[in-house]
Amino acid sequence: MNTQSTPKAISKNALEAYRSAKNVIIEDVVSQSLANKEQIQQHGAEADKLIRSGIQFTMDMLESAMTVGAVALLEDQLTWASDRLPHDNVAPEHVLARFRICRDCISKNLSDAYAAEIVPFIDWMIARQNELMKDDA
Amino acid sequence: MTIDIAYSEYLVGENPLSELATEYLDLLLRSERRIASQLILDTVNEGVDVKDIYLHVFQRSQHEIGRLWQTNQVNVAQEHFCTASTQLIMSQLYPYIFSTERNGKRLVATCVGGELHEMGVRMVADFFEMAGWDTYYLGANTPVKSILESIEAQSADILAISATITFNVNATMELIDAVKASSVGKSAKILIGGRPFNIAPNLWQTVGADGFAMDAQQAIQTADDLLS
Repeated sequence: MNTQSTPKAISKNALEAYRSAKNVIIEDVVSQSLANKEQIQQHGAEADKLIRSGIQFTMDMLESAMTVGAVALLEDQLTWASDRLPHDNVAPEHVLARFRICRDCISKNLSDAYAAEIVPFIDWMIARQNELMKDDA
Repeated sequence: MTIDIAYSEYLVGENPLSELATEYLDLLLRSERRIASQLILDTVNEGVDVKDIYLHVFQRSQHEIGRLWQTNQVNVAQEHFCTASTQLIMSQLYPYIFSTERNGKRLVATCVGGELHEMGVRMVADFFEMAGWDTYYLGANTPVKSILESIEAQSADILAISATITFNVNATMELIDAVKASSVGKSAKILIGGRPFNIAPNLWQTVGADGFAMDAQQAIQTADDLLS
């Protein structure tokens, strides 16, 4: 996936499946993210709360962008985050790692058919995050 | 206290009121709300249009405050103070805002449920008042049921909806669907605005709105076009 391609808006059934599985996916992503001690040690006792709110935000943002088929919404948020998150001790590579975990958890928790509609959006985010990291390097 | 911040082009570049906007934001960042208030009141009394103050001072300084927090040059408390101060100062301009002859048209203006950024839609409501509309401003995070009841109770010609955060686009669609499925959907036209709609082309059509506006000034024209 590169950022030149634009995924289509997902179907109502895929959206419904995503919403039904969202809480499970979030728990799965948070759990795997917290397991990466090197990436969370700077947050101390706040790690769970910070990671959880970030993943919730990501999943909510993704839901809106997928529903209307607008990657411009993801672009805007990723650009914003690249300026803001380092000040919250969240490095760009941490964001990238968590996007990849999101991708894996979505694929694991949804049917192949629904995951096939949704994963292109996460792939777009991963590609864009890589671009932003190269721009800042 | 000196403010050692390099403001963006949006605030100080192509801004017909760049000096005023800079002075205003400097005052707020120095916590000098009373002086900032007097500055604005004096400027209006000298003949500067309230609408220009809204567009070129308040809107631009709000945008700048958001950028300054994003880049960690101000903290959350400072951002909240500046926003609250601007809201207070806007309220002090209401004798000027409510002075226009009424045109018989009615607006309900609201943020979508879950949306807390209300300044933009408040400015829209005030612009409509200045244009002679009767406005019913609901503020932030209003439930769908209350919005529908308000449209009916106010006999609104236009429902103006604002969403600033990306993830509220879905809530916007759900609100629009609810309005169009209800009895009030037959009469009230839906106007939408906010950052997601500024950055994603034609998103306003995808979510089912009748019209879109980039700012408060454009909203008046779009609303008049929808009712013509």
